[in-house]
Amino acid sequence: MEVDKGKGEAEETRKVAEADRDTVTLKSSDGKLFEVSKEAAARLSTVLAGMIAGGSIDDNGTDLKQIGSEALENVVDYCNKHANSIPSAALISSSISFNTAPFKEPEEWERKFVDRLSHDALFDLVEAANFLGMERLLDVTCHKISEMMKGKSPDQIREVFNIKNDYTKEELEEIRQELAWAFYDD
Amino acid sequence: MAGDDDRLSALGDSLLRRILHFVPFKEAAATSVLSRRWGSLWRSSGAVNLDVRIRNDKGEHPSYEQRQEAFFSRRDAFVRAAMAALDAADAPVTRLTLRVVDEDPHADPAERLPYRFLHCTSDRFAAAGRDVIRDVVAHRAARGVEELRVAVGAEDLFRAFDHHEIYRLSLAVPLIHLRVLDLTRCTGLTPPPPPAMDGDAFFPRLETLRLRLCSLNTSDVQALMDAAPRLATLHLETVLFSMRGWTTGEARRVRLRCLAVTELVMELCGVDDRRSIQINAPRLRYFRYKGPERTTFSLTSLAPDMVEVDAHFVLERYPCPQGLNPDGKRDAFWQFVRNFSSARVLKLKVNNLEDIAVGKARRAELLCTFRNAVRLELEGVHHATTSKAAAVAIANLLRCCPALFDLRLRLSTVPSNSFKDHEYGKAFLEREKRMDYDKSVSRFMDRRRLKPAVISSLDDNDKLDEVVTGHIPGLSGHSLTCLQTSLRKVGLQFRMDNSSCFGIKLVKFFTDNAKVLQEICVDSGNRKLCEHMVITVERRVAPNSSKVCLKRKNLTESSWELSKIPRRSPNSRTDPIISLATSLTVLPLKR
Repeated sequence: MEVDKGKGEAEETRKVAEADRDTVTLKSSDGKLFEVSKEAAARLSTVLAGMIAGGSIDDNGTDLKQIGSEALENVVDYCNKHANSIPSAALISSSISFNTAPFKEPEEWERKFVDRLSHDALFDLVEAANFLGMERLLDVTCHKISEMMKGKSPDQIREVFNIKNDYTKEELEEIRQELAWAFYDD
Repeated sequence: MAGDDDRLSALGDSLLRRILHFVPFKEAAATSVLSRRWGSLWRSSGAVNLDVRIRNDKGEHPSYEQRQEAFFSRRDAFVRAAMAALDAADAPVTRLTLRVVDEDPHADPAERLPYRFLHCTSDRFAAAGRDVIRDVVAHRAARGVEELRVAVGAEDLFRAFDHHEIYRLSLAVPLIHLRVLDLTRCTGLTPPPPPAMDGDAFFPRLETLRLRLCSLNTSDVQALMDAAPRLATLHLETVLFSMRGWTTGEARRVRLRCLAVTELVMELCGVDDRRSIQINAPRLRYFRYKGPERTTFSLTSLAPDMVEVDAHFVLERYPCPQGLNPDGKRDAFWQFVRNFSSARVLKLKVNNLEDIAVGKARRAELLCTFRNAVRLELEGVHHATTSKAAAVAIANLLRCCPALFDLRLRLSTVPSNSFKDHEYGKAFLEREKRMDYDKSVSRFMDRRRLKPAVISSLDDNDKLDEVVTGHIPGLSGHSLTCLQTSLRKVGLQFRMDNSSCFGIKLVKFFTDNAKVLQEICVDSGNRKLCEHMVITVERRVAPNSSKVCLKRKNLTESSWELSKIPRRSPNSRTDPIISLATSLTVLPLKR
């Protein structure tokens, strides 16, 4: 009896919570569900903002068939972290949208956030951010990739990213000569 | 590192351009040879990031003349490469950065390598030097530049000011597309001419100005701001203001007029102790300050749209005998905060809560009213052994905020902040990294080690009696408007120690006295909270949790629910302290 009562209360609480939900549920390609702050999702992703505004958000999980669960977890994690750590300044100067805002250096937590990702997870996240129109996350992830190229020779870059050289020797020599200024040492 | 796939080249052109946007110019151009996929993409990245490392090879070139020649021939090669990179751009360059890094950690600052690199010629006696920065910015490809960043750094970014000239930026050429100007270690500005009558500003679109580790003349900074009528964001981080005509009394005051600025950050801006800073920013909405409290700061105009003030008072770098006495500190604090009487959010980090407590006698004189304040975050040291000063300070601020909705108190036992010397910056960062790691390891270990709930400890009855009555000298017994009508959320973070129950008393105080309280979050930093909470709140223990959230079930009943902080998803990596700050879900009572 008492157990039932507890259950009923739980049910009620859940309903109340859902009525004015401040989160949206997203579903990855492999069917996993993730909850994300509605405010942060709308602010950080143009695609999610459009879906929220257009009412095409499904309470049982909005299908994002292009995004795997690992990448979606990172997206959601990023949004929720952003919701917590965003400086109020960014909130108040909302007249400047994230799309047109000039690039700001990644913050400490954003650096840590991308630094812990594996190579594949990083690229999955770039693709997810691109798909969802998340400009800031794209900047942060692209910035991270740029740092992986920094200070490296073309050979080293090829090795890090597994890029296959499809030039002939002669072609390479031609480009090198044309861009000689890029191949001298300080 | 990577698997078999080339994930990078598989990205679309626009994403590759976006990555190339951040790549230093030589590496960017060199991507041409990676594969056909990369071809000439870099030319349209819209950015030229000129990175260069400089050094003075003593080993290679023993004679001074040879060294000079080598140094300047490397410099000229860099300039040629920079120009070639700009020539090669086939999309407008919107982002232009110049970053000069002094490679030699032991370089004698008196050699002024960066300055010579950017401004001198090999002819020591030449009257007119060079201006590499100006030449680069004047390139036709950079005409549409929106973000201009110039930084001179050492391997150790925090190397102390050495009072030598590092570089000078000439602003005598209008940059009509410029939106962001970001200067690190700039030691001189050639200001633009005063704004013309017809209103043609030199920097009509400049929105963000960030100055870091700069030593600049106040009037030059002012001239720059005057030429930027849309300047909305101003960050001054470790800026040393100097002045011309410094014998007059006026020179003791740094006065800045930034009429359009809505966001202002002032961190560790070196102003002579006896000087004051006066800011005229009528449209200010967000203000972050970090510095010693004895700098007198004032807004010379009302800022009616003020949203948030975030002030962090750091300890004096050199606590000197003629430093401020306790009264002086108190006055400085209240004079500081009263500038922001229309703020909606107050975040205040002080060294010691005692420093800001105002007794009855001076209350009318010092306190002010934050009519719009709905949220107050207060952080400071509270010594368990000392008098009721901390309680008085909290009462003072509650009195000042009659419409307070959300209160966060963070009580610590050690100062969280001290003045960090530039020289120690690097060591500090390393230490912090290590500590972060240690912390996360120990957190992880703690989680594994936790045992099921502890039965309440009733060994210290005297203390607990006091907790039950919830009387706090200095705080109890005052009639505080916000407690009666508005305070709905309280967050308390404190360290439990055996000598005091101040935190617990505060929990009790707010649950008893805040009439419309809906939610109280408590983070005691260790597990002892559970043991004490058993006494104050229905015998409910949050099993093996050091953080609990209390929610009033309904307003007529005075029973409280005590539950573990719910986590959003079991595999989320969110820090528990962070999730504490977000809204909490009501958990059903387990019967």
